[in-house]
Amino acid sequence: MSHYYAEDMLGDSRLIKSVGGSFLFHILLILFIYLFSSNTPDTNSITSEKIKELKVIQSAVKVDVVSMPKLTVKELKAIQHIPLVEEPNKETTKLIAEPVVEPKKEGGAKAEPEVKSQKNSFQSLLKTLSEEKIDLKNIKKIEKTDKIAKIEQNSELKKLVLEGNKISKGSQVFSENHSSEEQRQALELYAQNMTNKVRSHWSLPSYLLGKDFSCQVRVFISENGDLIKSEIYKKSADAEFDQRALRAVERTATFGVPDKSIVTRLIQGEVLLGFPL
Amino acid sequence: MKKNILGMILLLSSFLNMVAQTKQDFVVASVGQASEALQHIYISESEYSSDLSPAMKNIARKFSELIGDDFAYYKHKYTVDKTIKGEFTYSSGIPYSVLLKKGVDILIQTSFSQQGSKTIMNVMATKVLNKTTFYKSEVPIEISNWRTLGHSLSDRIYRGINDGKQSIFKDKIIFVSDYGSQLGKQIKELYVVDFDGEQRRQLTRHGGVVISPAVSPDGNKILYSLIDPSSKVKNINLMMLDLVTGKVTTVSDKKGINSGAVFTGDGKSVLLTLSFNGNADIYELRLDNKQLTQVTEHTAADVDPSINGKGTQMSFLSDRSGRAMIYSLDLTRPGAKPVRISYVGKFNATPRYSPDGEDIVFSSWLDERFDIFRIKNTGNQLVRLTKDFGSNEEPNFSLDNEFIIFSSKRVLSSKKSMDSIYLMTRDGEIVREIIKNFGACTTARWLR
Repeated sequence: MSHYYAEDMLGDSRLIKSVGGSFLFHILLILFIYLFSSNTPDTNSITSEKIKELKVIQSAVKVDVVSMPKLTVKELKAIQHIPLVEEPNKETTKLIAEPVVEPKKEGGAKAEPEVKSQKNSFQSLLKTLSEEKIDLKNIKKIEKTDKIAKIEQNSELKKLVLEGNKISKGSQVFSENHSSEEQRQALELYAQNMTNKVRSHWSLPSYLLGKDFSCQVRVFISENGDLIKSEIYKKSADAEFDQRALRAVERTATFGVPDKSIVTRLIQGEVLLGFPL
Repeated sequence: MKKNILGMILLLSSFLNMVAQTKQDFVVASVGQASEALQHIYISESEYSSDLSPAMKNIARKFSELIGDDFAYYKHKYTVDKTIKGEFTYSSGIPYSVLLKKGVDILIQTSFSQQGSKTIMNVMATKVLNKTTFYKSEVPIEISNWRTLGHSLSDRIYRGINDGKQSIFKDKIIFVSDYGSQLGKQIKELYVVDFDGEQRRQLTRHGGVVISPAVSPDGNKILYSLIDPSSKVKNINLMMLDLVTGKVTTVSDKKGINSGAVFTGDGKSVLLTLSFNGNADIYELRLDNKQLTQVTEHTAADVDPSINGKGTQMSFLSDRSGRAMIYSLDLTRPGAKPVRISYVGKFNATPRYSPDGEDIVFSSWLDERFDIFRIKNTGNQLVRLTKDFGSNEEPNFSLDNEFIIFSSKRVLSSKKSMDSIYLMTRDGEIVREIIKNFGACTTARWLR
């Protein structure tokens, strides 16, 4: 009897050991998959999205070549360096973001301004127009402006491809009792503004450009918006790349006064800046 | 045992919660792609011992300037500064924090010392940001070789910065000049200079007119066409100069044009324009047995062949469309038909491949002058490189793919003009005039 009891006990402990071991193994496996998947964002979708947009730009270039180009590469570069996006207003710290606007997808309809069809006013407009003298000089001017606008539109598209998703500036004022979602949106908006500032200092020497390095820098910001400290949160495969990312953050130094609701989170370093993503 | 397992499960779940919580709290914002940074190079003044000869002291002073000037050619990559007197010298060490504050990326230091009858030079190059001395050497230096040695050291430092990629510092440029011509007797001879226009040497002495030179893949031979005044029959013959032996041989002297020759990828044949049958077409001529094969066949004139680095593709000019346009031909497929690359421009000339074969650079007649353009080998992405800079012709990519050398004509009066050789980046940023005050200089080619 005692022999069977001892065997049972031995069997039980073996069972518990093997179940426990299996449980532990699965937990570790899930943990590994979780950590791995969360550390590597959906790069495929980003890459394919980028490629899709790049193809659009390429085909536009093909259509344009109908005569020898008048402008040199240098002149075209000078045109592209004209700032396209207005700097966000420094005083709008009480604003939080509207829901994140997804980048336009192919075939996605853009909200068109409402057009009021008023027959009478249209006819009178035609009449007025027919009575007006045509100013050829003005037409040439308009054509020129259109050309410049087209060039700017192309370079803006290119810039969007390089920048990735953009979070638009919100206009909704929130109360003192901020929900965690509102706080998060405010933090996201602040982080987006930070990237705009850091980008102007983010440059690499030719031998590091085009290489597939990526790192994340954790930034700690004071209530005045000054940089308290920055540190590498996720290393790239190249130490110099990481150093240059850190230097870009350090050279920016000040990021604008944040809203009170997010100060604690900024001081605690809850913003990670991705170089490039 | 059960307690232990339960304890571990609790520990794991709390860890998982913590990780999840931490991950949830971070906001990750993308900064985007970096722009290209100009690297700031600091060249310290050469340090030298007092027992150096006066001539060597002079070279020591010039040496750091030479290295600085070399790197200044890559103005699209580097800004170069010389340190103030006695600052950051070779023996003074490297004050990283001071250099970082100044925004210095790379520090180059040199020192000269006398060891018996030899002068020894020490060179050290350091990346300031990651505190790495990536190049250090100790070499004997002589008065006769200091420039060549300086360019060679600049090249090694450049390669240390750029993952082993070779610079233009050791390359040379060959060109044709009419220097020495007299009224009524035009002479054009072939010359060679360092990439910076220094150390000029005359290569041919025919007393005739040399045109359209081309360098062999191994850099040991030069092809050129010659109108020989001593010959009774005025013909354009193809010649070859062996740079190792100095020997000149006639490669082709068929009736009519024997010109615009380039070496094939293996250097065993040449592609050239011949007109002996009444029409200009492109032929391949084997150098060992002079076997001739017709490459293009058309009633229109096909001229100016150029070949890509691998020797797989040939570009040429043809007026088969009614205007001189660029065509390409796949040399790997026998019987392949030429593909038209350019569709615009009144008159295009001298297409030349980039070393990687991806781009073609050429000149085109526009606004009563030639200007230089670049196009992909597929015929896409046509861009203009020069404008309002005289009449620019004969572009040629540098062997590192970073620069284009070309000849530029300035009209000085109704009877006088001046041709000179200029260097620009592959995006059309003029770097400098390479050959100055040496007659009309044209058709520059790189030699390595």
